[in-house]
Amino acid sequence: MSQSSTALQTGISWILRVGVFLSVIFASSGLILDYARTGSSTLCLSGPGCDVWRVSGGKFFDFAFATIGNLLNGVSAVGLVSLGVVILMFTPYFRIAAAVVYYSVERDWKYVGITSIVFVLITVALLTF
Amino acid sequence: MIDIAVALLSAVFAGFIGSLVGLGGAVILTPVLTFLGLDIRIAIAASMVAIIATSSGSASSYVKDGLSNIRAAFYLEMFTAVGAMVGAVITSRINPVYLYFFFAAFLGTSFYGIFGRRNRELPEVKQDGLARWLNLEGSYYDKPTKKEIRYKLTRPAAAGPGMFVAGVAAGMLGIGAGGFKVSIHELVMGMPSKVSTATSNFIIGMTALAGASVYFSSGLLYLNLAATLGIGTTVGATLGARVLPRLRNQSVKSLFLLVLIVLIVEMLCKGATLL
Repeated sequence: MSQSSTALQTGISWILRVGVFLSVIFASSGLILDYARTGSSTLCLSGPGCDVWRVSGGKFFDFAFATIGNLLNGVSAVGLVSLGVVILMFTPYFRIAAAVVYYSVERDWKYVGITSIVFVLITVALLTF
Repeated sequence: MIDIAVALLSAVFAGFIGSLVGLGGAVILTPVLTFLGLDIRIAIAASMVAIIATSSGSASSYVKDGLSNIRAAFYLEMFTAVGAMVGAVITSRINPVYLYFFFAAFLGTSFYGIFGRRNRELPEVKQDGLARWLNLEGSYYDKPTKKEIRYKLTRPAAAGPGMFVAGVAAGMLGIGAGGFKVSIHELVMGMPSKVSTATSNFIIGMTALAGASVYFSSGLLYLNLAATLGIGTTVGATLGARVLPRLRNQSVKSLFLLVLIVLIVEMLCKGATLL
């Protein structure tokens, strides 16, 4: 195995680890904060007040920006959990971007093409639905 | 109404079993959540986000060990991503009753995926032209035999449409469809078992992202549920990775097959009562 392909593996592995770690930290602090505030251990999934937890339409990138904007205005349980979910969803996205960059540096144009197609497909999914 | 501790424990269990057999765990999680009284579509949407955590978590170590074939993963993901979007759109539009039956059928493919390859050796592969052009080959260090294993893959053109179908199922059911994917990797492309499991794990996160983006706009996604499940499956998968080296392969697979049979029967019963 060449040294540079090991570099790709180490880089991707690092992105994945950090992403999952941060995501779990933010999401669990949000859930704990919510428990401390409401004192209820029931997952709020239907009924009044539960809609704050529901992603009510909209696109992923809008949601990601809104989450960051809301957190800058003040930390809330929903805000922290949202941030955890946003970071989690960005981990596979960054891994694709990392692969595009890597194959470009390697001048492996076939795989620059293939990884770019995957990147475009996922971006289209995140932008359209 | 589901207690957060119950949801968390179910997710830990699913992540634990999932990591032992190389699946995302949602295939266990979603049926368990529906038995606890959750709407199947809400369970599916949250599981789709949660399996990104399991995939990213376990893929990080597989990638580091050189077990995932990254080229094959990206080639196959082109097909699977499109499938996942199609599948997720179907789920947001159809009558949920059918989902129970689709789910039971798919549990069947996981069963086949594990059962069919319980005693497989490294396959002899003659590469075709496209596979050679795509450089689909690799090597990894096999710890038990202490050998560097080199392998070649073949028939990428046939694997593509198969992976599209896997993507549709993944998007529809909020699962990784790992059992189905490893069957394609091994039976069509001739991938060694360990590489197949690790590559499937690598693909699952990207596919789940495509599917999850559809659920974002469908109003079926609850962040508190998705986060609880994500945390649980991550913890479960980490525990599983610690325990795995101490277990016998055969006992792990037998346990999983038993769990699958129970889930298939339960999904069919639940679907039948709602018809």
